[in-house]
Amino acid sequence: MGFQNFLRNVCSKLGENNKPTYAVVAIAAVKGICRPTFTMMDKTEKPETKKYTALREGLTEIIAIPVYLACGYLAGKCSPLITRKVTKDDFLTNQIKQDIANGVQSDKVQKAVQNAEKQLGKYKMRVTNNLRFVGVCAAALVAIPALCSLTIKPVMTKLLKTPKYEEKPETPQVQSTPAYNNSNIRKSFRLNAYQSRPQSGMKVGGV
Amino acid sequence: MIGPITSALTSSGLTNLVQSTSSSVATETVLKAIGRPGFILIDNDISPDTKKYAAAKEFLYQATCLVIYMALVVPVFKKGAFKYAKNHLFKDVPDAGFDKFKDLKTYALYRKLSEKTMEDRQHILNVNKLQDRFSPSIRTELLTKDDPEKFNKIKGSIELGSLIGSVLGLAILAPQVSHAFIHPALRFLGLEKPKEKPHT
Repeated sequence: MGFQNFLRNVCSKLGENNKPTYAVVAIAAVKGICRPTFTMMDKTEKPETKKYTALREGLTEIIAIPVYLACGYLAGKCSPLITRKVTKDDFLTNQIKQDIANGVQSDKVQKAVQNAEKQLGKYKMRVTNNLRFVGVCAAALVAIPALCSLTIKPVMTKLLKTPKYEEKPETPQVQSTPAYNNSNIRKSFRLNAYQSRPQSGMKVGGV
Repeated sequence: MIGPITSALTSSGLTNLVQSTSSSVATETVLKAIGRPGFILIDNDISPDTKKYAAAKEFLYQATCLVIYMALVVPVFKKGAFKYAKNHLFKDVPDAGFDKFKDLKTYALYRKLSEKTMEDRQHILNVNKLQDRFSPSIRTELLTKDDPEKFNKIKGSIELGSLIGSVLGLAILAPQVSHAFIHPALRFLGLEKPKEKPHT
């Protein structure tokens, strides 16, 4: 019964106001748990590759959750700036406005004023929610990819304690290094060496 | 005074999109399909081949997510949630209003109409002969009330179903499906080398 009541309350709450951040944060949270778990369960990959990929997937979602919340919250906070000029008069008919100007205090006028106040509240809530959605979209389109590009590479390097890779101009390969000669291993080591396929610094895909 | 920006921000189209989990998640997936490959392509730290490969992979991943989401998750979970809530969760709660609607489609139509003004509702119901689709009490609600009942518990049940579907579809199902689909697609596009057969 307890769980049923909980579900009923969730349904009521979602029906009244379905904030745009709910879905994206829920998806990011489950992705942050499941994707690294799936990666670690993959028996075909090398342990180093698995560790690297899982960590990167987890980090991407860890970055995404607060960014979604912050962008949604900040965008919603802009609502008073946009709606400051909107008053309850905007929801009154000209007839009612004239009645008010003439000092008429009938039930009809009072009812219209109450209705206008209700509509104004709803209007402001609408703007706030829609702005939150715009914020979440901006997070998905720009903020998260940009932040991932900036932070994931250095964080991964720090966590995995890998030496910084410096790009060198391509030189033609003359001879491959003999298997017994491992003196060049550290020099040619790079973060991407964990990858079996070419990758960019930002892990964005699901595979 | 209501300016053009506020009027655009409160348009019924945008409001419906925001309040619907499935529409908003689909929109965000489309934006991700544009934004993420875009960011990969403008990254100067990686080689052009890698950029092309990573951007194509990311685009294909998001496109797969969108297709799975729209084709499977939305209809299955939305309808399933409506049925579950009607027959189990709110079975003994008549206030929820599930008994007034035959199916999800009827409720969706009601909800859409309830957002309009009373004159518009009367006109649409009469012109399109939609009155038969609703029960008498719902018809009265639409034709006579300025602010018809929203039946938020029904709406919430549908959104909860969409939310669960979105999580399962995008976080669990889509990565598995895309894993099987993306690499052959990349090989077809010539961005990935064909698999080498192991030497025996």
